[in-house]
Amino acid sequence: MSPNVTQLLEECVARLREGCLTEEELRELVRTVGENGDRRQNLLYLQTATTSVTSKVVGTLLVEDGAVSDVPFDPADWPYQTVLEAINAGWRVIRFPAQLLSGHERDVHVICEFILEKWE
Amino acid sequence: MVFKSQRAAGNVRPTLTDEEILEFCKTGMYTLEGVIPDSTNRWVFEYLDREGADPVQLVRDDRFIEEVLLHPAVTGVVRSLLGERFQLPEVMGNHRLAGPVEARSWHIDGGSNFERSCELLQVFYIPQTNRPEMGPTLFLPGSHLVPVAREDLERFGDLAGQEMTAAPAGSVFVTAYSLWHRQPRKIDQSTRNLLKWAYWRTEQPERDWIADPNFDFAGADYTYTNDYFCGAARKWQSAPRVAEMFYWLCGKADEFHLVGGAGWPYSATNPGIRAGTR
Repeated sequence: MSPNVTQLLEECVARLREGCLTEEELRELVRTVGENGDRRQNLLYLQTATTSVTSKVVGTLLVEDGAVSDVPFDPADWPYQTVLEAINAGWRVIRFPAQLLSGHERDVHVICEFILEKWE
Repeated sequence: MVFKSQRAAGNVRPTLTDEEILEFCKTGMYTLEGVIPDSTNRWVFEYLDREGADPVQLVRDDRFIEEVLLHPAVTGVVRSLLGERFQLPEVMGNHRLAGPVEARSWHIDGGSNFERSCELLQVFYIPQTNRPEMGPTLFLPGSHLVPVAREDLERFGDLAGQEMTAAPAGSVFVTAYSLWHRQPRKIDQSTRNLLKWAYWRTEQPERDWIADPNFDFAGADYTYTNDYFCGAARKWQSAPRVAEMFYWLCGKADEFHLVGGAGWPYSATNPGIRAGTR
């Protein structure tokens, strides 16, 4: 539950204890809960050259508004050139590539990938 | 009756040089732009447009064999990479798309093993001009030697360094089998045909393409990077993979040895060779 909803609920509980909770306040709470229920998680998959957040993005997949979205063909036109740029635009990292096995064997392809989310 | 595919006669001339073979080892692809004549492209396209057209019948069609499968520009490359008596395909697929179609995921075809050898080649032929809005296949150069799980590939979107096969009618793309590829979103109303088949090696590899007697095996550059496989680690990984494939193609697999560090194939220095002969 988002902080906004939790805060409103606590305020309603307090007002109820004080005996002054109004119908309008309850309806406001219902409206806020409803709005939050309509929010969707957007996902951004960024493959990078290394595990650094300043490393160059070499692959991009965007899941937005409930669908996989195209990004431009030319990497120069991609929305973010580094993970840090995405973070600064409000994306929140939910998986770091550090979870992957590390190694430099010639047979292993280490995929450095950050997965980020944004709720809208 | 079981169809028995043909082998190339022993008179096909190779067209690739040492440098071009080495470049193929690095990228896993070779493009022949617009080599099949328009007259052929037209009848092939018309055939594929017929109701119930079966692309497999094309590999048994003398005209298709002569004008496409054995076209000198195509066979010159194939013979260079697969040897003299390579085998022609037994089957053929047509990735036909009509109207707008969503993108497919990046993938490798079944049986991909990222091997540092070249037992077969996967070939794509477009009998009509492919524009970007027609969803032309994307390849990722250099990926044929980079092991990856298909399940991992499927979540990838656009990749830096990807190459689109938007090209004129009659273009042929010769690829290493394990090359990562994908069909991007097709947004126009056209019908697109993409024929796909494989040629097979039947003989041991040897360096019988247009070989340069002065080619420097020790000093050649075996590294490969692009916008996706970038940075020092990827470059470091590429050299032994590329060198091993090149040596295999040259029939010198038994001469391929890594000694580690900055020795060959990163540099012409290879103290390990001396160590091995002590």
